[in-house]
Amino acid sequence: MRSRWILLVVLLAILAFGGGYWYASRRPELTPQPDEKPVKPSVVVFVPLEENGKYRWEAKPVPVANGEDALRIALEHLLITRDTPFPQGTRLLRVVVSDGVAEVDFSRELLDNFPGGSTTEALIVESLCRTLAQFADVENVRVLVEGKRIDTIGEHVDLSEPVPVRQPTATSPSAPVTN
Amino acid sequence: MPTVWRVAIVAVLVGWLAIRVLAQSTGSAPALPSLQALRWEESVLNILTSGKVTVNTFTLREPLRVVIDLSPCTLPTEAIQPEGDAPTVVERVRWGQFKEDVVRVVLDLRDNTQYALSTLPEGNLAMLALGAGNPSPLVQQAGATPASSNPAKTNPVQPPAELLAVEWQTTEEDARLRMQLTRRVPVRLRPLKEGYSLILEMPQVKPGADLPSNWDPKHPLVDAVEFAGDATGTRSTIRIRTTRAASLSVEYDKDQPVITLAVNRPRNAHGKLSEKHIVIDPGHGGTSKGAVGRDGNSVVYEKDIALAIALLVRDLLLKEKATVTMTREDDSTVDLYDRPKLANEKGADFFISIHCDSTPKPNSASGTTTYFHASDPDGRALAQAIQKHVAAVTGLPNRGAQTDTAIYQSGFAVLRRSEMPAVLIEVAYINNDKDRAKLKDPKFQRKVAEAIVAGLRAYVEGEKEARLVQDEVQIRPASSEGEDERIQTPEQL
Repeated sequence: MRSRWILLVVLLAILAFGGGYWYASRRPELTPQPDEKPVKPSVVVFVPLEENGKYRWEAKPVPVANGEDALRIALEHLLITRDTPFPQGTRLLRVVVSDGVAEVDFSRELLDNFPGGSTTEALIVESLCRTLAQFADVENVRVLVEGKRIDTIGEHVDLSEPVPVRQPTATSPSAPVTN
Repeated sequence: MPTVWRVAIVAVLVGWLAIRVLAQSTGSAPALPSLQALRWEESVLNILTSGKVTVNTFTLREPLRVVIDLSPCTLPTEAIQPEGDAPTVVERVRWGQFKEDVVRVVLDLRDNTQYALSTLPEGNLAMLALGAGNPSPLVQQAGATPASSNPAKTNPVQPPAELLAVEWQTTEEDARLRMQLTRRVPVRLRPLKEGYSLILEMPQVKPGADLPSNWDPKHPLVDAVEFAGDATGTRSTIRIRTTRAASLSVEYDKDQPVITLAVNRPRNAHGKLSEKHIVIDPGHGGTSKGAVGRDGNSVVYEKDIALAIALLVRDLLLKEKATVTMTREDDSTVDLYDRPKLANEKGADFFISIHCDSTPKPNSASGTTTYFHASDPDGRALAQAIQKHVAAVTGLPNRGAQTDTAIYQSGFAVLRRSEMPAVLIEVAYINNDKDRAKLKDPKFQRKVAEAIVAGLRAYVEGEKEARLVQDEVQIRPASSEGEDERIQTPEQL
């Protein structure tokens, strides 16, 4: 009687071990990784700093907690950070990335409060592009205002098509020759 | 049944143990992520890995350096090279397998600088932003791109290229400077503020032993050429001044490390101004007011000043018997894209857009700028001619002829879409008190309009001084008949 119980225990143990092994090998993502340190992700926003009538770009870090939407937080921060070229009161309504295109929808203050000037307009677009360029899945950006596509913010910069967020550098192999 | 319970507990424990054992083994079994790319985007170094890595950074002194440890991580089987241009504060970038599962990237710094590390939740991209105090350059223009599919990249290990030989090849119409190097390097052509001067910047180039001391090609288009060789190979330059608005471009040889600087007479720069068709585009209009300047209670709009100057330019050009088309002649609203479209449909020779600029902060900028599109050589020549004449009369800082990609890479819609040589003139800053006072003054508006016409004429017919010399040569034989009786040469006396 006792030996039958021992046999049953051994059989159950083998079954349980096998079952556990099968379960763990099927679902490796569920295995705990005790040595992993939590990474606190953060992003940067780019703002222009004026020096003697010229502009240089400063990267300002923005902390993002785990699980938060880094892209949205970066854009929201860009609109309110000190030295932002964006018109006062501009809010982010929505941002969606699909097929490499980030559709960024702003409130109408982007147009209503735009103070004018090709310099201001170019700084707005460039700060947006530079900030988006750190997100690997964003290739181009399309600007919307209250859900509608716009052709331009201030009648200088052409936004009628999605514009590339990354600068083709002189040394980059993919850099197109613009003329 | 206590025994059954005991059996069940043992079974569960054994099962749990199995999961633990497996977790330990799978945790270290898969291949480590590898370093994929190091890419500079302005002052940010993007570090790409094939999988999730943990990033630790710290600084070391003497020499000053930032250390970035990626773990677990290995080097890829293929050699990688950093992409993009490192900011000037970075002397060089080094990387290597520091430990079995740690890749170390080191930035040797010239100066102390702040930095901020960011990582994506996916863990395969780390961004090291070099911060305050870093003199990161503004956007570089994209025109100077080698045609090769495998251009030279910034490599801290590679020695500078050597400029071995130079040779001018000239015809009546053009002059070409052929430069033989030891390896392919990207160069950049940039207009200077003074007249018709340009600089060809050649980073990573040092002079060879057999270069000539005199680079003058003795060509009617070329006034002066000056080579400044940098023996350390950080940056050599060629300054070139032309006698008139000229079209300069850089050509990269497909097969060998040869760069040619071509100097040509630009498009539509033959004949007389009176034969030309010019589209004048006063910026904004109607519901689009453009930039706004305020003096207490009085408000001045960019659209009104642009129109006032444009109408004066129109009248002056009509007086010259040139053909003029206006995108608007009153305070009407004109679609942005209809402006270059009109010029293209008319087959005009020139497109001249007149604007006033504004910055995010009042009184932060002052002066005159003339923009051309990207690195278009004809647009640049026209911008240089107009800027030369307008900046001479404004009494404001000369900000030079600039590419419209100076701040934002796609440039301005009206310039990008115009098929003829096109410029956009930012006469002055409407949100600068001094500039605005001038912009509102009708006398100033007239001076600017005259200068725009003078610049156009200089582009088409050549500069006045140069023209006088030519005129003298041409006029003498024609007028010699009448003058012979009154003016005698010393031999006749």
